[in-house]
Amino acid sequence: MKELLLRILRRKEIVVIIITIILFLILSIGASSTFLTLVNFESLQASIAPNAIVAVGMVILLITGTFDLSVGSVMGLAGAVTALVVSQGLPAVPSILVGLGIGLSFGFVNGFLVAYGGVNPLIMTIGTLYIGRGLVNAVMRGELRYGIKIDNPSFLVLGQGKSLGLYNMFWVMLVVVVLAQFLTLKTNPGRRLYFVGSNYEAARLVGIKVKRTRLLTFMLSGLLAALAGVLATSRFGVSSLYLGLNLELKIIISCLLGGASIAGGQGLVAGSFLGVLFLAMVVSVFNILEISPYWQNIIVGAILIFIVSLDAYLVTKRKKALGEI
Amino acid sequence: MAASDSEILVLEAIAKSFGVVQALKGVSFPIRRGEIHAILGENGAGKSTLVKIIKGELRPDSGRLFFEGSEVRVFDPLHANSIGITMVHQELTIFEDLTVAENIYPNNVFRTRLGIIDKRLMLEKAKEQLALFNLTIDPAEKIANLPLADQRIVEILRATALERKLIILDEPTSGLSESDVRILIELIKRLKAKGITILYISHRIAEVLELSDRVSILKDGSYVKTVDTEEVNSAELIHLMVGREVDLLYSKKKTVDRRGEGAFLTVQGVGKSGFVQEVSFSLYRREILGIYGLEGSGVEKLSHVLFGLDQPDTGSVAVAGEELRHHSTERMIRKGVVYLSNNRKQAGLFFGMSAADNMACPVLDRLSRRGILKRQEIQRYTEGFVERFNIVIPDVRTRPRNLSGGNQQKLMFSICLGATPACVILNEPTRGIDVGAKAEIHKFVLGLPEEDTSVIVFSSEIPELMALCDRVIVMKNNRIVDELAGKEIEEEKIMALAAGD
Amino acid sequence: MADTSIRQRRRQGLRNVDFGQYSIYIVTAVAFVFLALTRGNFFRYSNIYSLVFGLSMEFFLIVGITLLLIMGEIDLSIGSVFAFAGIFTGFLMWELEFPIWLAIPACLVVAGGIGFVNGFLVVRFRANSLMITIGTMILFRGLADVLINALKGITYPSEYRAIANFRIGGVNFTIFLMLALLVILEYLLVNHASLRKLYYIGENKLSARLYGVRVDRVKLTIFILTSVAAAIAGIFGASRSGQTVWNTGQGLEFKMITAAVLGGASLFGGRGSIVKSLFGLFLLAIILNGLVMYSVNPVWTNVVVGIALVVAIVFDSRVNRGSDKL
Repeated sequence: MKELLLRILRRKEIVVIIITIILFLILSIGASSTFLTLVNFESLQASIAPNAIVAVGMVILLITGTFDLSVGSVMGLAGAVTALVVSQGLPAVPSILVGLGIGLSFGFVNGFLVAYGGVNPLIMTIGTLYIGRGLVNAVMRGELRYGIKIDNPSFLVLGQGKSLGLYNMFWVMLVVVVLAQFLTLKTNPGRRLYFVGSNYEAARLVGIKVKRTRLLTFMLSGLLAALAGVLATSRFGVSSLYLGLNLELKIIISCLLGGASIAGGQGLVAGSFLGVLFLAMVVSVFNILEISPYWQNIIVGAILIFIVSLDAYLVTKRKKALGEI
Repeated sequence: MAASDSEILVLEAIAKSFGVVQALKGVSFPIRRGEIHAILGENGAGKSTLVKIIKGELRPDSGRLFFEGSEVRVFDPLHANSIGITMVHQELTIFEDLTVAENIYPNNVFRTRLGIIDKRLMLEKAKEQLALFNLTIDPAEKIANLPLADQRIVEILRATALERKLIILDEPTSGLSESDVRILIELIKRLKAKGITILYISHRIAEVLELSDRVSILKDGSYVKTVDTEEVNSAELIHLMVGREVDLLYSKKKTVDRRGEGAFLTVQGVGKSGFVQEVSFSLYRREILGIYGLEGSGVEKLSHVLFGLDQPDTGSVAVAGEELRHHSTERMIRKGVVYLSNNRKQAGLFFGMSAADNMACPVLDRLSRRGILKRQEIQRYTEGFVERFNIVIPDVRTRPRNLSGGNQQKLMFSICLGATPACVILNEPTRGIDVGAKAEIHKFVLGLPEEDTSVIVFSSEIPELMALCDRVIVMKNNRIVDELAGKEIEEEKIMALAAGD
Repeated sequence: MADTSIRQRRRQGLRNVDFGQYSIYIVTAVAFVFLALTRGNFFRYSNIYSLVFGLSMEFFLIVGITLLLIMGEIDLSIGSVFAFAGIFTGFLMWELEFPIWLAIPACLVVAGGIGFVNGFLVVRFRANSLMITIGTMILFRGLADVLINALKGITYPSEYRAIANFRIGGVNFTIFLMLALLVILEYLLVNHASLRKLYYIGENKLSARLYGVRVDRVKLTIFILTSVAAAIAGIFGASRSGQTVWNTGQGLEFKMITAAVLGGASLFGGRGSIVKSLFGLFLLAIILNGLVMYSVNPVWTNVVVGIALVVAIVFDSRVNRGSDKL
């Protein structure tokens, strides 16, 4: 028992866990009536669920040593397109499939060019970020730019309906997170992600199909981002130009907070969920303290800088201890 | 040609070309089951091409390959793996972030009935493998925490754990200290005892002589001969490889005592926590000083700290009488000290830039007037060195990546010496290059004192130190154990100091 | 035998280099001619002039990013610094009533500070410059927004607005500045010892260190320079627009990277040229101008730039990945 405790304490995510708990306590004590009301818990679910889903896709990419900056755009585009086809009369299920298909396509393009074309993933996904965001604007142009309204109830139930007291989309998220955590920890294909991220060349040499893994993980990331977009759009009942804007960086911060590293080979799905929770809490605190969105951005930027520096510092420290210059 | 039962791998007229370059010309010879079969040859002889074909990475243009009697038609590393052939590469291919057990079994096959990974079983099996070779490494340990030699051992275990029939080892002892080499050699002998056939690729003739049963020599893409190791000696092997009479590479130097000429570089109480403790010594003018130590003795870090690649925690380095306050490579170069890197693939060359650009780097100020580079002069400068060191290069605009290993090393030498340094720090000056180039480089180094240059040589090959140095410093456990001069420089004595109690 | 192979490889290598080196000029020329022939509005003095004028202000941005790319680094905060600098100068003059000759240097100093932070973190902690500068980008975009909010939509003071409008012989001085600096900088980049070091650093950082290049110091300097240059561009930009604008400079960083990569700079370091980057920028400007000429809805602008970026980096990978880089 003591060994287990010691092992938990040594993990770097422990800081985040502690701060999350502290924040939670502060909020519940300090702003009790505002924070712990049912309403707030509900809105927390709504903001966490899509983000956590995207984070699963992102942390998997981080584990394999890469990442995807286009997830925000994909989320927005999938939401917009789905809203468009639903409002044109297509039934719920096919519409959702269309949205997911967009995510898969973007993921395919990203993954194919990165894995088989050898393109730098960061700049590549910035390119698709741009294309995606542009397409959102193209889809929602003219009068549509204020939002495409959705009437289809069977579609709306996804985001607005509840089962057993929790939002449907929250359940979806739980399934995704738990499944992903299980697969990455306990199954071969999941563990292989760590091998690929830890040493890409070596993984290739032991027979792991690294290029295919890259392609598939990018497609998964796109798919999950699209799923998040569909859910969020369903929740609000209307599409938005701003859905997913600047999301990718917040997601990356969440994953890094949860123990992932830009260098690859590390990270846990559960950690990314923790990170999303933490960030959601921080944003809650901001909103309660009525900090303007501009200052929120400033703080997010500062946090990102801090975490990236810290991550880099730790990696460098480890390398130096091994004698590297 | 039917393969007999005792021959596990038969090569028949294997040929392979890359464009106009014929890497292999009709190579044919058999490898017997259960033997340790070494392949020797200079760089460019075709060793790596041959090995790549055996392990399935390349397809031969013509010829046939028979493994265990049946012809190999599919050339794919995974296929080779599945029929029983595997290779351990020269560059480490470990998974740093993962444990020893996961490194031994990367394609984890231990599943419970539910399809999930059985971690306990994997650890048990890993322990078994380790025990088979009398190793005390903890399988649950993160591999990043192990020393280099152990990491390499784990890599070899990855091959054995798969119960492969043929294991190809490519320079397995490269970068290891003598005692670790011994551990590895013992391990390899035990592999043989288990009936595994081993293909051993190495430049180190002494190891080849000790370990192998038979040796096949390649020269210029052609097969020369296979000999029984018992029936040859080092000189004969070299002769077969190089085809010319080469003076025994490692004759002991006639040392010179330079203490009277005063110290050029003095190291005083230098320490770097975890790596080096209180090291003090002097390099005298025009002497060649060797520094030797096993893995973990601190020599690698000492070389970094010496040149300013890393900062010492304590102590100081003084060059030409002046103590350096803020140590940096730039200051060392300005004081006339240069450093030859021990890993030219990683540092020391600019592979994508022309040879002339490479040469110009440390002396940019000298080759420019008020900051503007003088192209003609850079060209002349480079050509001068090409001639002086016999570098085989078509044009000064050629990039190092198009040169052979030996010529790359010579280019690196030129870059350093071009700065007309007062002192050269050589780190493994002849690692990974063939016999011919090795001899040339030794000749240059021996000639340096006559040009008023002092030399420090870090090398893991004791015979090389014996051939080059006037004095040898031996390190152990992060400290200097002793200094040997003149007649005292003997292989056994050095080893005793470095490894003994 | 070995000699023939080297010679042959060299011939093949030359073929690669030749194509890559001049392709940007060719493509730009083709695009230019195409538009000139198919759209009457394109080849008018006022249109071309405004393209060139725009270039002359973005020039400063492209200089910094090219130098960084040569070293194998990147700075995504230049768009935000661009926006921030323009507004900050206006803020200093409007709210704090700084005279212009104080406001601008003060702004440049602050920009230098931003560059210092970027460079310091990258150099000292070996942090990934992409991620760090994304953080800086968000941070200073936020600051810029705060300032715009504080200023509540003003028109900048006339001296400020005059900068961009200053003309010599009917041509904006920024164009002269650009041409002069272009020639000087490119010449120095090719021939001056200290700028040569950038290529060494980008090609192999460790080798450069071994041979006495102060890698850390050089990188830090270029990061600072890049931010200051971005600030200069931002001041010109703000001066030109004359009033506070939301989302100014949004997406500039990607446009610059696209331009530089189109012009032959590589994300892997070791290559780049200011002239060619500028041509890359010119090509982009022509393409975007062409979209307008063909009455394409402006929402497609982002998509086009994104596609151009993807195309550019795919080519970059095909051509440059083969080098001996990790």
